[in-house]
Amino acid sequence: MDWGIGLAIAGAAFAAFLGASGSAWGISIAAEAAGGVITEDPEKFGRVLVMLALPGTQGFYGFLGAFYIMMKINLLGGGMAVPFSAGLQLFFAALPLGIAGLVSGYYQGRASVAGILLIAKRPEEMGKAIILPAMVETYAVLGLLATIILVSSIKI
Amino acid sequence: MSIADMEKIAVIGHISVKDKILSILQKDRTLHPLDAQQEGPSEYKSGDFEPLLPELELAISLLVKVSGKKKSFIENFVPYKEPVEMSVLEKTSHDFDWRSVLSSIKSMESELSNLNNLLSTLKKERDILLPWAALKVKLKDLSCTKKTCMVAGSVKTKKMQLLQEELSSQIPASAIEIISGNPDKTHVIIFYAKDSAKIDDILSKINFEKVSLPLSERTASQELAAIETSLKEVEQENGTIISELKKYVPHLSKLSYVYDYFFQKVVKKTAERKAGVTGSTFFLSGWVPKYKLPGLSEELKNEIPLCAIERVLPEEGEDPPTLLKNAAVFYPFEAITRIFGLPGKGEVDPTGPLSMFYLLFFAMCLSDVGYGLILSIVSWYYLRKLTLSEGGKKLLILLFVGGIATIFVGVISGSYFGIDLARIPAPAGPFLIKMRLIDPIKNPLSVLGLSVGLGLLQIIYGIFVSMLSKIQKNQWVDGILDDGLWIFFLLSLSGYAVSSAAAQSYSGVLSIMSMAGATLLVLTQGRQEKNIFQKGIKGILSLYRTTGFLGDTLSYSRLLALMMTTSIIGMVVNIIAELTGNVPYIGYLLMVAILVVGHIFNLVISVLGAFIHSARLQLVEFFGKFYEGSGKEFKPFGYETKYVVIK
Repeated sequence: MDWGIGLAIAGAAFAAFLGASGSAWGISIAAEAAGGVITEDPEKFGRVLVMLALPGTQGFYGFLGAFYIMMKINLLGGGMAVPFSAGLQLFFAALPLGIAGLVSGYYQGRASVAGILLIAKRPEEMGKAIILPAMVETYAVLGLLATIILVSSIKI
Repeated sequence: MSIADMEKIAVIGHISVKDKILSILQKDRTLHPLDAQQEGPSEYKSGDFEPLLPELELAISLLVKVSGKKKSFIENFVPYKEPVEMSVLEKTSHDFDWRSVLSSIKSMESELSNLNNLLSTLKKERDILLPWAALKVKLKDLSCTKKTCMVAGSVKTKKMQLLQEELSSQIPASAIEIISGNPDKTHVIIFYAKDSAKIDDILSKINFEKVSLPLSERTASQELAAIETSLKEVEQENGTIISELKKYVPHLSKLSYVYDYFFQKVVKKTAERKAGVTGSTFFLSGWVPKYKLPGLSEELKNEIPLCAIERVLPEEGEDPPTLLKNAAVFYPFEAITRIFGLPGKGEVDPTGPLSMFYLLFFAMCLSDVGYGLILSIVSWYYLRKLTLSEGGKKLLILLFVGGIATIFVGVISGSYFGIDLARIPAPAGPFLIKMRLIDPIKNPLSVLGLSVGLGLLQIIYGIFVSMLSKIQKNQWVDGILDDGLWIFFLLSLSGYAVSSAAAQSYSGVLSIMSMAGATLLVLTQGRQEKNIFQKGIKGILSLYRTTGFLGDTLSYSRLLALMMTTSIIGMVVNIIAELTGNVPYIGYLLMVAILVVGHIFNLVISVLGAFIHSARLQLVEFFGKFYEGSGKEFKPFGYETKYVVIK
């Protein structure tokens, strides 16, 4: 039984599904607040849309990490032999991205809600509102970076 | 000069020319008015035009709704405003009989809202009656007789059995008739002998909802038919009014002219309230950018004889409002500075220092020739096509320039819509590969080093700017000991880190230099404390700031992450498109659709990410070193519009 490649794929899958779940969670929280604001003032749709798209990046980071691992084991090109230890390493390397993506996606959604409420009252302060959730996203980026550096330095 | 010099002035004139002077000031947009802080005389009650504005706004929004005009997607982000001359606005407000239009729209509006109320009442009644349509008796007969009573209502279907059991066991002289039902609720009529006391207990126990049906001579189905007829009538009437309203749609633009014309009057009135008055003169004080002052006094002198401009000395502690005035190269980057806040008194304008870094970081995050090209073409097109506010214009120019810079960085990183360069035939492919100097996907560590290196550079530059501004204020000691020493220490420390990792021979020198820097910092950073122990402790603790700098520097690693996001998602789009190309018959169609949609999507999220993250690096990591942003914005008294732009 080939555990190595299985573990590597599990890592990729974890990165993708945790990141995507975090984004879905965060965006749904922000979208609820956005719906309320748009009910009051449909003109704000454009601004609010940008705010609620912000927690969406975790999903992409997760997808990207998954793809990076797939490239590492040449999965699209038919796959290569991955020893058990390397597979385990790839699995653990995927965790920072997946877990940070899940948690930060949720919390970035909450920060987006704060920004959306800010825009509801002071639409001219869009620039400041957009920076608040971006502060949370930093840590999803760091998770992605950790995963990329780990994956790229694993030897198969 | 990136912050405009301000001059505090007072415009003084005879009361008869007040309105004329205000009109000129409003047209020129040069004066930031200040409150005269004197109790205005009673003639300054709220303007007569103010109540008009909400009425006009309501009429306009109603007409827009009726006209069924759809906004284009881009208009959600940048609302279109028609450019119009002030004279046209004035003429429209005088010639166009907007009062009668407004009053007829208003009466139609109130009719519409009455009809809507009626509609919802009728619908509510219908919803109540609907379950009882099968009832054969007249509704008014649903009441008590001498000996028996009946009650109509609904109960959860789950509890029906419980109800039947309770009734038959506790009140033998009772019956229950099911009128209608669904899996959720059952509508029933319960008959019972008049003196049964337990009925209320049973009903409350099973949460029976009594319904009060209208006491009518007709049956439920007859009532329903009547309601349907009135509903139809109301809807018909509604339609007539809406088609009547549609006749007014051509007046839409004129109404918006009228709105903005009176809006200017209100704005003017607000400024007027800030003016001080005596018996026959008035004065309005405020700030004017120095370079605009000669033009303003010239114009006022030529047009209005009974008026003068005096320079006024600012009061103690009174700071002028800030107006950024940068050369055309830096102009769009003011948008980034404004996100944080404008420079206050004695601060440098960070726009120039941040501009090149921002541009480079934006380009690195997007880093694809194709995306850069599309971004600059699209933003150029909208710059041409749309009439934009100052802020919107800055943003679009920023995106345009960012797109151009992205093309260059894209060549260096060898990214063209994420296409695998090895598959491009000679001579183009090998040439493009030769142009590629960095490859974030194959060699992320070197790009990481580059990102962090650029970060260190910007942080040291930030400390340098802080030092310069202290020196300009003649605080030489603070500038050199607080900032100069840190620059020296950080440079030698990072030099030591790099050289010892690369096992260079001069790492020894650098290590001595960084130790010397640290010692000097320990000796000097506590110099403001009184006793020697506090001096020492504060000096040692100051070294803790190094970790802060380390964190700031690592924050720039996001450049690598965003660079990879763009190129990998682009690659994935291509791979998926290629796979669908093999689908029989519609393969190519699918492939093209996936390529177009996928790349547009990637472009949008990458631009958003590039914009936000490069801005954040400026606002948090860079500004933290030297900038407070404590200034107040220069807000000249001028035109403020809702629907049009006054040329």
